[in-house]
Amino acid sequence: MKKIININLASRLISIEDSAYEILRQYLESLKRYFAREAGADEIVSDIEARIAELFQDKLKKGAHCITDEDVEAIKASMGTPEQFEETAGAENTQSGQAQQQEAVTGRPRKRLYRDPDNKVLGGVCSGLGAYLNVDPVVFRIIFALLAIGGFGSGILVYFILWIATPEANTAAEKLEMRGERVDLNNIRATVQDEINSLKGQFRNVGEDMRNFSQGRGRQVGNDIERFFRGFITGLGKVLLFVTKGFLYFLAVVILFSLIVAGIAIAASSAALFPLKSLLLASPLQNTLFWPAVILLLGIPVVALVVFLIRKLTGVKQTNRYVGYTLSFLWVIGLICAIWLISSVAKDFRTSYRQKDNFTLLQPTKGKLIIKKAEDQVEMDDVDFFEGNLRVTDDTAIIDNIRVKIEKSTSDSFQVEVIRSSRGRTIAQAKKLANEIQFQLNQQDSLLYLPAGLSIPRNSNFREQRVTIVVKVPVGKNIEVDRDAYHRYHFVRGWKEDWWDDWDEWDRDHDGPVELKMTIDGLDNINIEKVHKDTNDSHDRNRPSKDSLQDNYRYHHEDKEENSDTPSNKKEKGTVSVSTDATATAQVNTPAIESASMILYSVYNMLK
Amino acid sequence: MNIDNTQSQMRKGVLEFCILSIIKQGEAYPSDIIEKMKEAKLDILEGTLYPLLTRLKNAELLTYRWVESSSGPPRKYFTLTDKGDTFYKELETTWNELANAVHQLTQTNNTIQDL
Repeated sequence: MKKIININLASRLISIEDSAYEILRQYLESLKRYFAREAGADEIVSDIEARIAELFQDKLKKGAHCITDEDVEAIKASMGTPEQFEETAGAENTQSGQAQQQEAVTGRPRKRLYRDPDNKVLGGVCSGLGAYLNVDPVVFRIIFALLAIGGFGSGILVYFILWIATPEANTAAEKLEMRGERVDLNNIRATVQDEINSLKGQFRNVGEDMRNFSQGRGRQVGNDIERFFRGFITGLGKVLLFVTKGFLYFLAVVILFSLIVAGIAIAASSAALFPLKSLLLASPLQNTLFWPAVILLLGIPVVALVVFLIRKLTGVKQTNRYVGYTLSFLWVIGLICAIWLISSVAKDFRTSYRQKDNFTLLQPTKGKLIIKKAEDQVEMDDVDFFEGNLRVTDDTAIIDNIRVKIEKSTSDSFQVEVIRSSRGRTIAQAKKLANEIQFQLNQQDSLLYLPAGLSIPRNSNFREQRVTIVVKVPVGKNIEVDRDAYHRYHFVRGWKEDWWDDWDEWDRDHDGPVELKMTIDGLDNINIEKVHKDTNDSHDRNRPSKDSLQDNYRYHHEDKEENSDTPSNKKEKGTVSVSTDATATAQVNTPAIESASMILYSVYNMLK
Repeated sequence: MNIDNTQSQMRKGVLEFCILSIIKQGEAYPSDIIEKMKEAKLDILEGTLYPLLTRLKNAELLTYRWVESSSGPPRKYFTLTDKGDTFYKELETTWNELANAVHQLTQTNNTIQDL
């Protein structure tokens, strides 16, 4: 099976097989090269073309459907190839004949690695490699692209090196060398002749002198200079263009890569995302909108980039504009779905409902209430999102949306209130959701355990359900907040209560609990009072580092912390705690700790 | 000494004379010339004819005009110029002398061999 093409050969319409056309084209090329040195080369070749066309047309008129390889070969045989002409001519000029023979002895054509400017996508490196190794350049393009993506950019580096290292095949001889074709005297002469001809054209408008000059040595010089400047400017433009282009391609590859990675990640975790989706989406409408929104919004850019890169890699230039239209249309549909979905979900958060319950609290015997986090009932290796803020099990979703508020009690007893709140599309829905919240406090004498999160049924929806625990502390009584609890829950601070700031500050240095005392004015931090007293004693307010060190030790006085004062533990703290001085060490008064703090001090100095 | 070389040299020497004589008989276009040469069993590579014609034309021995053709584009019909005519006559004289000389010599050779 062969393709037949129609060509216009010397103003005659010829149907010719694709392969035959290729042979004919090469033959005519070789003739052009051969006759290039002769005066009236164009005329000779066009005469020959006319003759060939005539013979072909005769053939077609006699009933042949098309011109085949054999027909072209027959023509070549009767017309003669440049080599045959050379033999005939060689007889007449023995010198050139000998040169010809020498040429033939030189034998095997030399093959060199060039960049091929005729088939290039970027710099022609791949097409050059393809020509050198007789392999389709697409193979190299794919290899380089894979190396660029998978080999941490090594493909790009190698490509650049090759680009810089290999010359571009500009002249006919270089192109012949690139393909490993024989570079014989004909071809080189033809190349030179071509250049002379084109140069003659360029100088035609310049005066006679100039033309005379151009035919001498000056031609070569002028040619070189002009070529240099033209090459320089176009080279500069090319470099700029390439840098921009290269950057864009690189960006495209990176974006594609990250999109693919994101896609794989989403696909891999889709099992995990399903519960999240069902938690957030309520109505069938929202569920229907979800997939088109996600697939179109993320998938279309991936498809577009893949198409773009493949096109660039294969060097396919023509584009089907309908592809672009279709893709953008689908993407816009995805966008509309996404906006619709988001607005629909947002409506579900319109109304809110709060339900307040009192927790019956047994008054702690020591006059101090300790707030602690209850042990997790749910294993953490269950599916969890947002760093454990949302966990989903078979029948329950656990949401970490708990606030703690510490207030002054109006009576002389501790009180705890639990406020469940939720949002919803309607008040009834919000109320239902709020009532569904499961939240169980647990008291053991002075210890009040808070669960890690609030639970809602798995088939319910997340509509910003929240639990606020209001702890009312009577004046003169203390409350202790476990640091774990402090980190876990969101503490609502009164606007006057600036002790929280201090707490944040110490937070970097300590991990012990904080004890607070309720005064008439509001909460006060017992630790702070002590710190202040100490700093006043030492008249050294400007050294916050000292405060923190003292705090450090102060916490170690507490029963729990004392046990953990192993040297290793100390060392860790030492990296953050700062200078030491006589007052601080005197207060501690333990030889072990003293020596430890000396070590700490030296460690600190080293770090500093 | 290469036999092919010698043969092609001999052919080449008379080629221009043959072409000129074909054209002298009447206007001719390249395909006609080739046909006539083939009829006369003077086989040449067609490709060598065209450069030869161009060379003769450039030497102002030949001239051509475009003639409309029923099948396809116009054709080049060659005729001899006055200069070409003189040139041809000189070649003709030379050829006749040469042919005679060659004939005479080869005949003599043959007779010597025959004897």
